[in-house]
Amino acid sequence: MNDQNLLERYIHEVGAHLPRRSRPDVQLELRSLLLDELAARGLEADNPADAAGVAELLKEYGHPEELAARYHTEQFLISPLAFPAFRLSYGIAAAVVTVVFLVGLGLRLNQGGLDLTELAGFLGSYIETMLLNFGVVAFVFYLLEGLGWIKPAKTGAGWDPHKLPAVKDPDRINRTELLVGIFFTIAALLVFNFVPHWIGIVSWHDDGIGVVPILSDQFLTYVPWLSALWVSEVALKALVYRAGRWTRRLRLAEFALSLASIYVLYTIVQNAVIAKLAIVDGIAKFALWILLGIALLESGWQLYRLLSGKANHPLGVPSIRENQ
Amino acid sequence: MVTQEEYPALLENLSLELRRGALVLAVLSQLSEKQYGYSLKQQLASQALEIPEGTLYPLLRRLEAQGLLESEWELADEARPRRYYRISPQGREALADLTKEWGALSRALGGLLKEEKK
Repeated sequence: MNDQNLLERYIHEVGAHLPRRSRPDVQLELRSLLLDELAARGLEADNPADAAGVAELLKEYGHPEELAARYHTEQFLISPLAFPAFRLSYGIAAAVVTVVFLVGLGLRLNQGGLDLTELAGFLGSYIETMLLNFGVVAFVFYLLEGLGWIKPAKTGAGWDPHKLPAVKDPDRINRTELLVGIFFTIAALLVFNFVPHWIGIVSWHDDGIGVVPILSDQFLTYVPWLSALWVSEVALKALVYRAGRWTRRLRLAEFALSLASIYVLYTIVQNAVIAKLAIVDGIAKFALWILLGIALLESGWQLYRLLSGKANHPLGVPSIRENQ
Repeated sequence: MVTQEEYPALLENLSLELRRGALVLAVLSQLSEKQYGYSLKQQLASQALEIPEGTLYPLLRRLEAQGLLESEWELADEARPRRYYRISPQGREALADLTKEWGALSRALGGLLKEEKK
């Protein structure tokens, strides 16, 4: 099924305004009902010639926000209508806090590390700030709703199903992006293995341009480790390219590779002098700590996706067997 | 005060509100045999009770959440699983009580409307 058809976009948008707990089940039933209605009218969701009829049916069902609101029986602090905006606002606030803490953590680690008590204090302070952030954003939305400032945008009969946003499919691949990724990984593999002295400080003098190699000998002993990671990454990307989309197995391989990368990066940043110049070494290690933080967050997200089974369901809609 | 142009919309809203009150009774009365959403909608329509999809289907979920209906998924074909609803024992009890309530209300309203006609 083409997941970009109007029907799927509608189901996705209704789900966006539903609580996570009931979302998959309501979406599954809604799809079944809409397909029944379409069949009764002799229409097909995937047939471009039937798009006008499909749009007409969706208008009869009502704007996604309105329909989702009718599915609610519980009381909410943040209503389904305001929930997507709340989620986005809190996401931005949480991302800012996380980046600030990661930078702080990177700086502290770079200045000589943290003992266990300091690290626990650092994490405690991070959790406290995130919770406070949540409370503030939730309170602001509660006030905005109470004052009636959050209203449905285009509900009623006047809304246009053709303007529903496209469904984002996290497993869909961009072949050009993959090829560019493979190209740069191979380039790094070749440079670090065959001409590592090209990486350095560029200087101009009378004879022309020269490069003062910057990587330490100790760092270069880790190049085989990095090479193994890069070869694995190229192989993984090639498999994804061949498969045409991310599958659960490929996601598992990606997660394993992320863990291996975190281990190698951590080993390098903890044990090795990366650059010959102390100031460059400090900057490189600082950057690597940040990179490690991002890699940890990313692998956490990958694990969550694998465990929640989201990797293969762009709409987050499980099959009938999963539902029973 | 609504204008002459706004009156049809107002009437439609009032009529919808009136039907909405009786909707639970109508739905419970039709679910002694299991039915899926679309077949129930068709059955109600065949009894001259047209209910918008966006109202009926969420109502089924609400009644189920309240324990008045039971539901189960069935695989009509691989592409289209259907959720079938049936009245629960608690729903039967509610149906009996609501039917009595409806009878009393209908008699009372009948009397009121008769007086109005005089």
